[in-house]
Amino acid sequence: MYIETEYFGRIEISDDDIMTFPEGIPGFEELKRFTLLSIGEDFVNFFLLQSVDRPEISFIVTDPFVIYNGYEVHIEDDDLELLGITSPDTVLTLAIAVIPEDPKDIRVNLKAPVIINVDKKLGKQILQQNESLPIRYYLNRS
Amino acid sequence: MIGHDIEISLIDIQGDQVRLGIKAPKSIAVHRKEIYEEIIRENRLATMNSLAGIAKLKKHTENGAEDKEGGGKN
Repeated sequence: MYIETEYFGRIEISDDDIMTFPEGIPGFEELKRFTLLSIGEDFVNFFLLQSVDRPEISFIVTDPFVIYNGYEVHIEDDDLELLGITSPDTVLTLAIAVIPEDPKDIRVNLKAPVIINVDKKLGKQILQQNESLPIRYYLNRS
Repeated sequence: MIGHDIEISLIDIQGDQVRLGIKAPKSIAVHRKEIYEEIIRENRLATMNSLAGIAKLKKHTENGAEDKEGGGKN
């Protein structure tokens, strides 16, 4: 099928590329279908989580385990069930980035990673109880 | 009590500040509303990324490019 995207215009994806977020994403609860796109070879660790239904809604996401040493994710039983997760091998964890013009303000949300069961193509942004994880983890500040 | 397994207790009152304790089974996520609202706020901002900012991301990815899981398709 073809979908419209803000960054790439009209692109073709297959039904297999569509992931369902049964609860949407906080702030966008009505959007249940997303697809993960590469944003180009130059952006090795970053991907675009694109809404299938709203071209202008997409999130740049990255692998939190790469940017934050010792990152851990905890998924409660009801979420394991919601996402049909039975093995850690099928879990893809992504953190949503906010990318303003000033590189100093580029940040990643480590508190609420997007968890995807790549097997069943089900996803949810899951708030972590861990108090030490920041909602805004700045990549270019130290 | 809420239902039979969620217990709310008053821990402390100081002036106009009230501290509540919430005891709930592990399977029930308890989050402060402010945190949830902040997540929503960051999510909204995340959909308004700057193209100029994204161009600058390149620099960032040149270093930490070890391995990655999953991957996208065009």
